[in-house]
Amino acid sequence: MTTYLVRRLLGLAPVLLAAATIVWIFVFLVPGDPARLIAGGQGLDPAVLESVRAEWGLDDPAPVQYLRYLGKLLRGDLGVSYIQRRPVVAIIREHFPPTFILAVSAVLLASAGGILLGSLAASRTGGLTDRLVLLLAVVGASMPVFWLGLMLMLLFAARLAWLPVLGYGMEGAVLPLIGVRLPELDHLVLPAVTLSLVLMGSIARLTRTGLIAVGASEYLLTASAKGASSARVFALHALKNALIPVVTIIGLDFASLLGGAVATEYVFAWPGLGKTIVRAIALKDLPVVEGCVLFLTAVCVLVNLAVDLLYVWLDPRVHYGGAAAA
Amino acid sequence: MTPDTSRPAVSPFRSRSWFSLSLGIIIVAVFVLCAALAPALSRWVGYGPFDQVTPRSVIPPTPPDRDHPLGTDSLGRDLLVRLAHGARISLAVGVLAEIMALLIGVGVGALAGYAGGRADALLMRLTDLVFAFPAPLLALAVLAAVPDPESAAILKHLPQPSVGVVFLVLGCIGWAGIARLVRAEFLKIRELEFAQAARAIGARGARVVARHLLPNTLGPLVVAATLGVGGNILVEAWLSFLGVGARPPLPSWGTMVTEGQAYFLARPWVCVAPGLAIFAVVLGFNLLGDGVGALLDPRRRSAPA
Repeated sequence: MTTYLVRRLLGLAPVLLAAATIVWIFVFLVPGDPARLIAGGQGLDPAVLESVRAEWGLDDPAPVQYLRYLGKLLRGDLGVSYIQRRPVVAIIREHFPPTFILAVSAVLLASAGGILLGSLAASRTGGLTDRLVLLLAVVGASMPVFWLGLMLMLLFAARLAWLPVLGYGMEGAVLPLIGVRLPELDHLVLPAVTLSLVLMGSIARLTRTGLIAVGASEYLLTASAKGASSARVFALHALKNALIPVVTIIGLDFASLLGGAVATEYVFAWPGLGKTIVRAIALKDLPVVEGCVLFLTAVCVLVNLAVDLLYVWLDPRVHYGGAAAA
Repeated sequence: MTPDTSRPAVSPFRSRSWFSLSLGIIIVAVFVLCAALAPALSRWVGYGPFDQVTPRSVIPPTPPDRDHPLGTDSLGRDLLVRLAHGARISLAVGVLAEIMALLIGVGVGALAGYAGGRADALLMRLTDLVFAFPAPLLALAVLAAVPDPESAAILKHLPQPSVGVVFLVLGCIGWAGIARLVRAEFLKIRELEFAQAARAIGARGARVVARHLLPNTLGPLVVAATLGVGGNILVEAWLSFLGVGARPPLPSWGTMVTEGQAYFLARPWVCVAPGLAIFAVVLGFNLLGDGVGALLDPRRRSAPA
């Protein structure tokens, strides 16, 4: 297990290096002249441009700049915002908690809803619920999240006025120790539901497929024969095994989830990384855009690693490395 | 997978796959028709996607009425005409990006799957790398850094640089899944008798691949490509919505939703129509892909999957 973990963690390095390189190429090589962006209104003065280049190290040859950039990355330095003039890492630290809260709420909602719907569908395949669940899966996969968010906002916030239109809420509790402000619950509902609908359909469909596949397995029959109640058989034996593909889909779809989070945050003015990215795009604040994207790439890759490790716990047949493999 | 014995083997699934397939074909055909007829529509009504059609005495956006069935946007442009022209952008980006992904993906996958050994290991390492990226985010980062495509040396010869760069980026990112699929299919079939027979009578590698192996992977490829077109359209809309895809005044559906967002709660029709169009066309491609997949997969015809 340990060797497997170490090997997997080492395997992350090339992915992150490639992502960092692509980002570097596009931030510092392709677009005209970063010095002009930094200098802003004073960019017409050659003397100002010259001093900006010297200050930001933009007059060094490209390979030198690249190596310096990688060195900084290794030390956890993602550069400095052109506009806010503060480290990108500080911006990420400030805006990551809202994104994290939104993404986790959405995954929890999607899992709860998806597993429930999938179980209902599997209990009577071919029935009306079953058909609706399969429909929901394809609808969820086709839905532009940002538009769904707008429609839900129109209905539940503007027309029915059940929920606030946008924002994070200012009255949320502050978590002790880490100093993170929680959103007000009613502000969280619409963004989290919007984002959860991206995943819910595919989770429901996979739960259904998984339950049907294990439904005929002999170990379920064994468990029933030994006198386990049907609820126990379902929860402990059937559902646990049917959950394996559900965990997979969370890993596979995590990139779309993050993409959806960016759009959802923008629609609902949720003060997370997504909104930060969109604002930075509009202001051409490239270090912020690229730093946040690089950070989210790392998150995505780590989540996929975590998903692979979860298998070991969920599926007794899977063992990595070690002598336990049978 | 164990067949579900509690139900009749064929009935529910077969009907559903036909339903998906026919509904998918209808939806996709309607949008292809819209895209093809958009210029004719403009000629017929007498204005294009960039023309102000509201009289000077009213302040747009105006709600749907007899002359403008979907209403107008904040610059007084007819939404139906813009929507029809937007179909051209969505379909072009979706299909062209998928063709590019297919070219790269089939090339890489076929080479890896047929050659095996070192080349296979190397190419699959590369594929895994691309596959591990959160593709939409990477596209966002790359596109945000292309300041204005109209002035970039390599892009300015494209008919619509800001749309062209989107399809290039999506194509460059989207091939990994195709490569994996083609390689996996090749590994399954390259040692089957027909491939061995072709080699035994002296066919060269390229001929075996092109004439014998590739045609046998066509089914799964068609399914993957159809779903891929839908995915590309969705990502293009998302990128345009975030302001890095098609630039205004182009009538990309994602851009149209952004434009309507500012006054959305008071004048929702500006956002509703383009968003619905995105949803419908992607749904069409997904249904089509699912339907074709179900028809081609003999196991799924009898067992629910």
